[in-house]
Amino acid sequence: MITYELMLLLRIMPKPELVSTLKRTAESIYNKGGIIRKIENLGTKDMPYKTSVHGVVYNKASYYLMEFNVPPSSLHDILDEYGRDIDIIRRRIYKKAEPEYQECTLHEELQPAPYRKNVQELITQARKLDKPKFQYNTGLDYYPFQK
Amino acid sequence: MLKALNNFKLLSMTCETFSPNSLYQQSVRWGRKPLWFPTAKSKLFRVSPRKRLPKEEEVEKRRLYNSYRTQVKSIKQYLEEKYSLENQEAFDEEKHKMEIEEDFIQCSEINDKWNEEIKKSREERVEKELQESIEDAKRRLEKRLKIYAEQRETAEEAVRQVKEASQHFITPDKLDAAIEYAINNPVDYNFALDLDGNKIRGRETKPPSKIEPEKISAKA
Repeated sequence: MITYELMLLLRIMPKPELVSTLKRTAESIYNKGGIIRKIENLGTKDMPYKTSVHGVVYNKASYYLMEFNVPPSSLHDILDEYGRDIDIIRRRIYKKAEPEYQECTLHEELQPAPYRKNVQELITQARKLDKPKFQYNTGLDYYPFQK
Repeated sequence: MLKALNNFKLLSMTCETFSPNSLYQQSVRWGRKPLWFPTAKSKLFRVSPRKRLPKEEEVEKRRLYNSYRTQVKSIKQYLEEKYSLENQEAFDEEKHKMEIEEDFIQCSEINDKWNEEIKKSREERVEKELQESIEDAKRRLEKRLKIYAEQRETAEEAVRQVKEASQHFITPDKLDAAIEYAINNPVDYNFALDLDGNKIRGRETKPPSKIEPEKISAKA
């Protein structure tokens, strides 16, 4: 069972209309035999760029998020249905990704460059490409004869 | 020739542009008469003196040749003796057959012995391989069963989680309330980190400033 996330950008409307739009979108999921897990309002804000749909230009939108399960074959129909809804500016469905656990390495990253592990690895890698230099094996750190 | 060489040197020195290393230039000449020339008239009837070896070397050489000849002669005599018809035994058909039979019996005895040994070692090996393969199969079966159990466990875990979560699913009769709640409670996942590692939640919230902004007061 794949959980999907639906990101909806709705046009700015008074509350009764907003409720009916959300209901419409939810019902189209129910009609496909789906389950809704969560509905979230992410606020009303400016869009990153202006968008024109259904012959109107929008600069602002109400962001709504829905989590739901639905047979994967019906995703296309759902998106198609939303595409024809004039109250929806943008819609997109993602697979819900489980958050990955990552260990915090900030204290390492804050160190100066030569102390960082990845930088040291890079340096050793670069040293491998150096031209081989002849070793005299005299046990001295200088060349004892005149050069 | 020398003159020609000198001339050539001069010439090559004058046209240095063609040869960068004019000092080392030499013209190649034959050291003797060319091979296809006949013997010179002056050398035609010359008889060169016979080469004479030193006395000791001559003696040593003679000794070596003598011994060599003796050895070869003896070998030759030996072979002649060996393969002469007089010394050959008459070919006996019966005896030859008998020999072949005896040889065959001996060979087959050795062969049987070897076969016996190989059979023994083969049986041992096969037994060992069988045991090993049985053990391997058992091990694999165990591993596979373990994997199946783990898979079942994870599947059951997933089902359990979904069952638990299903209590909070938004069913059509709960939809109105959920929409109402969502509209009234906007969520903001944005946050910022300051240098002390404090999370400041919200997209628009401003961090509490430590320094109070200076109050501008009208001059008295």
